[in-house]
Amino acid sequence: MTAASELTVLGAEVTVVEQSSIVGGHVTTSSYCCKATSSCARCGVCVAHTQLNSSLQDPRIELHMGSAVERFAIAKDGVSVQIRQRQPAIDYKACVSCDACIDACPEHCITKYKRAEITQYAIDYDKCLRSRGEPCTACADACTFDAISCDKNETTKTLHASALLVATGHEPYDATKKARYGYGSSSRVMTGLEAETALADKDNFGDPNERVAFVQCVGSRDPSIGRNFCSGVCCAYALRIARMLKYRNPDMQVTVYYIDLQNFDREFTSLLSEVKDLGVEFVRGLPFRIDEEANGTLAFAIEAADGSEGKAHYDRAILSVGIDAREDADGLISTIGLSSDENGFLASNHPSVFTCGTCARPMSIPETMAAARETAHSMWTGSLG
Amino acid sequence: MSQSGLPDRRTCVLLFNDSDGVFDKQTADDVEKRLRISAPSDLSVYRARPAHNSDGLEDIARFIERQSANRILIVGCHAGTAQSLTDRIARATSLPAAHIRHESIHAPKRTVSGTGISENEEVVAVATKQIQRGIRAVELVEDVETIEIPLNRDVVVLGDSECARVAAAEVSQFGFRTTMVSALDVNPGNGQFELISGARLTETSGVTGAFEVTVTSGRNGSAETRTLSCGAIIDARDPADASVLESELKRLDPAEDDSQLIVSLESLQGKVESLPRIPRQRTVAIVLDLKTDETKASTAAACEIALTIQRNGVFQVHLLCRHARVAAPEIGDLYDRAREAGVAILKYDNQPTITRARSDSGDGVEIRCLDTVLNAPVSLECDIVAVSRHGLSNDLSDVYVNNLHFSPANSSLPGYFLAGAATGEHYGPQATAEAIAAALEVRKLLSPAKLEVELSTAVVDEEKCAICLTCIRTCPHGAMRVDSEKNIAENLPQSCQRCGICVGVCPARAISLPEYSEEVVLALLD
Repeated sequence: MTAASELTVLGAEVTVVEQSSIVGGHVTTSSYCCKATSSCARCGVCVAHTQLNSSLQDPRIELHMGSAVERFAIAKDGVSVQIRQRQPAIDYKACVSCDACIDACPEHCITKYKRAEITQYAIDYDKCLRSRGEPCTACADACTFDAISCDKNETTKTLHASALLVATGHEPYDATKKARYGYGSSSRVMTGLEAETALADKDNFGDPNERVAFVQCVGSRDPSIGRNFCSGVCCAYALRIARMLKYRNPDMQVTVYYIDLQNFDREFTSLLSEVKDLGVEFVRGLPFRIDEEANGTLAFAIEAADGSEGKAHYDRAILSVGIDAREDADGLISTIGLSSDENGFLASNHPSVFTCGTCARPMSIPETMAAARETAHSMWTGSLG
Repeated sequence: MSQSGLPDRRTCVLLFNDSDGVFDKQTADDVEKRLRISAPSDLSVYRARPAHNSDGLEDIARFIERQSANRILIVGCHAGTAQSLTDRIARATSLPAAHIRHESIHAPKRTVSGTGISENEEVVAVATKQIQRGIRAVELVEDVETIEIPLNRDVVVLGDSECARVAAAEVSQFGFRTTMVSALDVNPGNGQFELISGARLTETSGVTGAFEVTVTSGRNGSAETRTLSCGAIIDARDPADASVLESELKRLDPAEDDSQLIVSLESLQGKVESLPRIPRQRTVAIVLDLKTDETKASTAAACEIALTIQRNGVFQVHLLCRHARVAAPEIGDLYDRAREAGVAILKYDNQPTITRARSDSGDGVEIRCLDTVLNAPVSLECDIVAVSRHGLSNDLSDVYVNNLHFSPANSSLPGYFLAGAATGEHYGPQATAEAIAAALEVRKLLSPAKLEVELSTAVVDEEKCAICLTCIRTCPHGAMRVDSEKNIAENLPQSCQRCGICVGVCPARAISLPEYSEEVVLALLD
């Protein structure tokens, strides 16, 4: 959406094709939270929300929600894209966030996401009765603001443009794949994203006297699971969350198990020393197993400096999961003719097609926004030539 | 007569059907009716739908003009929507944004029923009261003028990196006359900009759109000073400059040039090539993060040099760092290849000590540090040690430290943009993206021929100001300065962000913002 806004400033007409019924990807659905304590943590989440809000309001950006790319062709002067638009589709320029559609839906397909000043509604197209061929129009009927269209089953549309940008984002690494860490089998093991959601919705989670341990590099820098790259963002969010936890709960015991600490901006050094001053413990080296013991405590199997095995006990484990390429990208890859590397990240093969953001490589929110501006600029100058 | 009793104020209320279930059409109808009963005849109400397309906006603008309204109250939509609408209405009607107010309605929440019939008298009563209060407040905002300030459309780019060069090249491609000021000799490439090399910034003054940048080239006796005028500045400087490196190397190893054993990372390649072959294997150590944390750019550079030298077969390379910054796939890959080639990586903590030492094998350098993997102090004897200059200094410029704008390129001082090393990471692809983002911001700022500034910025009361300089010191945007003629503090409207900090800190309560003057605030407390 940053790229879309930048393109309109440069003078382009922009159409955004979004498969789901919300924009913003994980910024919206993963409940990234504000990580300020007495000072801003500079994570960029609020900046992303502000950007999304202004892009959603921008009259120069045409949004096609619930739309997937069916066909793609290189045309004279650019590209031609055929999209299939599913319904129901929400027009966010008319929506006033009254929630009438949520109450009306018989299958409870609609989830509300309210982040900062924006409210969006995600429709689960798989649960929706229309996907089973039933002519349900409950949500559209309930909407007194004509913001939901539900009159056709699916529409097909062809769009022509000078350039195409693929910015389909990422998935967080599925921690169940790292079975040794017990995610999914123990309720005391959570991912960093789940920690963020808990902190976004409530002030805290768990007991203020708990022993909490972060495990870094889950799904990253790990040749044993075929993910040998650094996601970059997990050290940043772990440090920021650790800071929040200790700031709010001085008696909480917080430990971070890491390989290296990736820095994220000029404030890294001061943030790290602040976190250490708050009493967060750092241990170089990752546990190789996490088991839940009979009394509910988690036992981390760790290796000491002299090579001997030891155990450390905690009440909660937070796995800092990394950025993974989307598993459902295959269709898009073959339709548009993109390349994907061994980790599934996308790249373009044609001068009129661009990739940007976490679908192309792992990056943080501020990096994504800078890269988006750069890409918008390249698309614009490319289209003029 | 208007709500406020001021005869020349006419307000138009843009009444939306609210979000979050407070208003629906029926409630809005009831509120409108209630307003018209108690309001004077010159209050106009426009029933708005989310007017996000230009058709809707045109209609609103026409209505406002027909009604000769000079104050607008937006009610019944999100603050975010209201902000965007305020900007667009201001442009469409030429009303100052300060004359447009958004009122959030806080009323008991109710669910919208399918029939849309409002039965909630309380909501209508509360909302009407809040709207009337909002009207009074916006009418009490004094008339605000808009002035035009000429913009200097030249641009200065500071820095000696590829990032700075890209920024300068892009900005000049946009059509702005650009000067790049670099401490080192650089190759401008195809850039159509002026390059002043071997120069450093000595002073920046002036205001957004009219900065004065003073640069000095040469050293000591032969210093030459030049002052450049520009409308915007892009700062891509690296705090770890050559002189910092020179003095640190001299401190660690005072030996004469050729017999130096502690060198810079950039000169390491040349140094090892110049060494005569001897029967035993020589040891080379590269030290990163010596005084401050380095970044991906340093890890990448160090791994590359380490790999090249290690592959030679003649040297054993040790790479010492606090953390390996590998958050880019190609850097992770380079790091792995360096390790596979035999480079020994040592992750340390605390300050390492580096000293020249004599041992049985001759002159060398000894490094002592705490190995965090072994959790024990270690001592390393090497023939040559290379230090990375980026680990020697982390002097954050003021403009970065107090940066309220977290998005790339923007700093607290409007017109002063940051990229690359100035924001912390000068690794190629990232720094290039920032350079272009900064160039795009420059273009946004300087494209209009003149800067239109609404005088809804801070106003200093001449009689109360004692020039204590508190506001000047506190303003994060550099928007206050001393007006030496009038002998008071003066606000620079082109930089002022209307944040209100000066209003809050002034000990004499001499500063106010038109949208939040005492009268307005008192009206809101009613």
